[in-house]
Amino acid sequence: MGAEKPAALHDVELAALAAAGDRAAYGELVRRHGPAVRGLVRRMGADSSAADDVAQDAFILGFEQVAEFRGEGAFAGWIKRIAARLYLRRMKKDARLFLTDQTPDEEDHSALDEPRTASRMDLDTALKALSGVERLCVSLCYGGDLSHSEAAEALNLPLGTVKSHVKRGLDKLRARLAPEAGLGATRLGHV
Amino acid sequence: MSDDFDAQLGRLFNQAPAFPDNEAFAARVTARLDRDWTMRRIMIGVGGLAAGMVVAWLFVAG
Repeated sequence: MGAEKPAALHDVELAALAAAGDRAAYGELVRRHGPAVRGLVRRMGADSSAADDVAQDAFILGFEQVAEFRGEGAFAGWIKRIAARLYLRRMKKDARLFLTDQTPDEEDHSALDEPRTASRMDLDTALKALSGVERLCVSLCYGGDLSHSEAAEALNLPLGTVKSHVKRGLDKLRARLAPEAGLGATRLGHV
Repeated sequence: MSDDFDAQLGRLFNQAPAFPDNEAFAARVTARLDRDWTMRRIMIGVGGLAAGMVVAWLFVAG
């Protein structure tokens, strides 16, 4: 296995090598899963620069903790959870975590109305219809692989509140992603 | 329908957007790892040297 190039190895093998200090192996994991982590943090509401900072910190922290990854789940899910928690911590630190039902700003509203008539709607645009806390809850549960309980703990909110935010967020996403007949593959353009 | 929606939404979230600068991002992370690793080795070396000097001083003085 030692002679194999990192690109040819499975995530679990790369993580094992990284746990032994192989930074090149970990670099391959970063290459594979960087987009997923950066995408998740952006979907949680971060701008591109902040998302990249958080993603970078998450991978650095992930390297320090990679021995704890035993391959029970996907590496992508594991590292995304780290990134999601880091982003929340950063928001709290910057006092930007307003857990209220703020509606998106005017700019976001105008951007959202247009795609309703477009032939294709993407998740990132649809997410802008959600309030900040709805977006966080939905992103944490569906993108960050956190259970409702874990999201409630991470956000320091009651479980019922998180479930309500997720439900309201899903209703809004459903209305935008599949307004007529449920979520159709053609509408989503990805299946 | 709700289950379908949940599953589809999960798949949508799992679809990572394309980042044209992905290689550069990975390079930045590995460079930082290398830097941290080098710093750690230097700190360990300095710590070991200091400890050795203390032991040597105690040995000579004692």
